[in-house]
Amino acid sequence: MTETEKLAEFEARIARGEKIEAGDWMPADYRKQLVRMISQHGHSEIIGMQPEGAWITRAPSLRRKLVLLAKVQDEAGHGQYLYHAAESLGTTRNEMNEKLLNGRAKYASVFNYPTPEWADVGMIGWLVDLAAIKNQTMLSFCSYGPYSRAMIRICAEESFHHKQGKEMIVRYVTGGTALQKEMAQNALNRWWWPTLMMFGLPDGQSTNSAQLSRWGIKTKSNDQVRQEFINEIVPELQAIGLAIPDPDLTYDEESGNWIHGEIDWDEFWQVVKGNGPLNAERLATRQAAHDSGEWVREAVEGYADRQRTRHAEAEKMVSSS
Amino acid sequence: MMSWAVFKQAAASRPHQMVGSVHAADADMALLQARSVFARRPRAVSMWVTPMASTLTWSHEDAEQLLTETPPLDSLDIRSDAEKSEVWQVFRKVGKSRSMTFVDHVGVVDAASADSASDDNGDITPPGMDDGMDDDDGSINPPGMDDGMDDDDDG
Repeated sequence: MTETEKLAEFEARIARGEKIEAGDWMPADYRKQLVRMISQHGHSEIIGMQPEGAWITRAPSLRRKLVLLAKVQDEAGHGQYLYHAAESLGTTRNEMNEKLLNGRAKYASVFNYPTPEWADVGMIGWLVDLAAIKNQTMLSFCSYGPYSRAMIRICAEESFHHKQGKEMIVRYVTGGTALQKEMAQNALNRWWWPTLMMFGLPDGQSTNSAQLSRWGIKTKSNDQVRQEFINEIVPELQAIGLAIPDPDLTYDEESGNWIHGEIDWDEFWQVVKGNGPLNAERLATRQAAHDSGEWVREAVEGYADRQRTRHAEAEKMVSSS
Repeated sequence: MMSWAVFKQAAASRPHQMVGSVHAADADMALLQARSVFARRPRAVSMWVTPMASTLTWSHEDAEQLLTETPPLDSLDIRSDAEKSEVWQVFRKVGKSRSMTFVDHVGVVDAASADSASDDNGDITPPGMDDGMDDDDGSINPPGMDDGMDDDDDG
């Protein structure tokens, strides 16, 4: 088959709804785009442990602490699922880690914002994790098998995260003290806009989108997924009496959509370029964790080497006796 | 660190299914990692890890070719050479739909090489008959951890 025929067959497979697997023929650009997307998605899970992880030692009750511990541990696992999916395309864990630490690979900008109050943990669960579920549900239908499977696995766990955040905020707002209610409103004010930015640039401005959708990597546009999110979350936030920090937010009777005001894309680009509130701190924390894990990696390698040597010596003794 | 393929069995009546991979220096640590990444939720009754480097995979194109071409003669008579014959675990991707797992364990074959093992579709011993695995070796998750998530879902 010529390259053109291979491409035609590849696109026909995607059109038939078949999943592309690791060893299958694929265009170089398909592989490249997937490695970029999946590794950055993995980095987002790993960096995403930090904003909430910072609160584990200060959780207000044992119950909240256990929930948060389990959640942050889930994020670590999600990073593993995703790095595995990226590795199936030929990149390595070390390459990905290096690109994250030297700033060449990006991760979700939303994790560069600070979590100054406890309610941020709940608001991240309710808003950021719901946004992640919307995006990841879309990606679970993507044409690349390993990525799709990682998404299904992650979405199942992500729904726990979403529920724990919602439960926390609803409790503070509807049954809590004035201070707890204020804390929840402040958290919404901080996370609303960064969450809307998570879905990426508006449809006309997103440069990668056309090819990604032709190859079945993205099965919905940025604006479509953002709209799904807004339509679900706005009535829920309003039902418990929280004020959404967007004076231009309106309901469009005809389409049944909630229409948001202008998103500050300058801020988005500033954070993407590394000038967000905590970009430097997030990477420094990741680098420190990597460095302080060095002795563990050395120790397990040393132990495995010794076991192999012993095993080989024992085999030799058996065969020579 | 080596890469290890992880196979998980969700219930005694079900095949081992490939769920992903982990990085570890040795098999014991790979199993430990696999348990914490893939068996916290949903549950598992058994898990295997194998070095990724010792798996041979056949792609979509290879499979198509296999169907249209006659296998080379030497691969048809592999078991006459008992000296070189080894046991190979065979996994197959059973559907094209959206799923949480990759391939299912379909059985074992005796063959001289991975290549001839994958050609030998006719004589696979189904799992549970002669695979030496004990299905009743206890649950990896303590009872009560099952959250109703099921790896076998298509959809």
